[in-house]
Amino acid sequence: MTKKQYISALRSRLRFRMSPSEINDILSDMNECFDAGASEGKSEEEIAEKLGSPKSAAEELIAQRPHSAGNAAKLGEYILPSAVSIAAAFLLICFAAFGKAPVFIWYLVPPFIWLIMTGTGFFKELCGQKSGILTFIGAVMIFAAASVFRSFTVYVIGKEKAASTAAVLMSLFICVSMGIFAAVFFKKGRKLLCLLPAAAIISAIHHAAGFLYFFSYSSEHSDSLYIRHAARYLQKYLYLLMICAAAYILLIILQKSGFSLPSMYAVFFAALLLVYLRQTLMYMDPETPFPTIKYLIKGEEYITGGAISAAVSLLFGIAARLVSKRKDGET
Amino acid sequence: MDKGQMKKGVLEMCILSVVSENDLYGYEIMKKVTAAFPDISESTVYAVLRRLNADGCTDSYTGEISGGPKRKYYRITEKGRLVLENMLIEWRGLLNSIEMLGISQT
Repeated sequence: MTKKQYISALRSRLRFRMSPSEINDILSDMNECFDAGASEGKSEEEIAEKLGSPKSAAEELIAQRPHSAGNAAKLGEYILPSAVSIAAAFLLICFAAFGKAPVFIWYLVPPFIWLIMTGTGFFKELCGQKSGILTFIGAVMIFAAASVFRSFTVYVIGKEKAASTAAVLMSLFICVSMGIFAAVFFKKGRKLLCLLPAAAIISAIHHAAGFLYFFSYSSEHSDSLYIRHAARYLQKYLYLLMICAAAYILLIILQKSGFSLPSMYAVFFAALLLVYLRQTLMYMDPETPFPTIKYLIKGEEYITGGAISAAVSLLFGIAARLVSKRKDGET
Repeated sequence: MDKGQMKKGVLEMCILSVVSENDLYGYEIMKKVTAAFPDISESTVYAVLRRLNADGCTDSYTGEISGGPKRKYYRITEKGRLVLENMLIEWRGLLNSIEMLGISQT
């Protein structure tokens, strides 16, 4: 195991269990150990072997951690974020799958994800609780400003076309701001976190595509037929992508909150099933007591989306597991 | 009681004793202690050292040997000296008790 591998393995073992400043402190000490060992002519592998496996090092460090109030406090720390994560997973999947939710829901989804991230310590791990909250407030302000701007164009100017342009511009703005966040995350080596702004970007594009579709639909011009179809398909696929990203992020949160992989998938599929049933009931003919094949098929689109997102997140999960197992195997 | 736990208590004493002689940087302390306890890993020593530092038994400062790289040095504090003294008294008492029971030390 090289120095780089050791440090990154230790980081991932300590992540979410200690504050970022503590982790940075430990890792800088470990770096110093490697440098000191290297100056004595030892190889990185030798030093890593003497240090003991990252797993046992992390366990020792957590056990010896000052002020750790034992397991009871640790469990308590996880209960609230876990409950929030489950509720959030359920709500997000419902909103995403229905697609019939009022438009303002789309404005709420990204700040909502930010809130969950803050609550579950994603930001605490990344840059400290305070800046996490600040980032969240910033994200809410961006979306609030965008909503006000849109309402202004619809109700004050009273032009749907203007509203569509505003929506597209707003989406562009969201894309740029979220792109900056993504770049920051990527630069900090938090590649997984990039999925978060990516989901917001996809959500924004999806929103813009929806407006383009709506706008072209209301115009009588036949040329708009192509735009209409293109926009419709764009919307559909982006929508699937967004569910995938959201599902994957939520699964990470659940996993980091101390849930096992199978229980997370159980929650995920239960939510999907509920959505599917609700969808089927919505399409049901009031005169037939049971959902007919025709109505079941109508819900197909949603179950396909759900299945694809579940499969993608499952593949991500398996890949992540394989990678981490291979890393452990090297110790 | 597993043997690891017994050793960990002794480990605190040993680390404090090593640091009480002169200021050392982290890697030196880890190397010194693991040389005496070969079945204890360096990261265990580091974890205990970290806790001692957080408890105020030692404190750290950044120093450099002439021309060498900057390193984090640890030195014992007044509190650390008291803790070490108490530990040594306890340890000697323990050795006496063991001897009284006729358990040979060799």
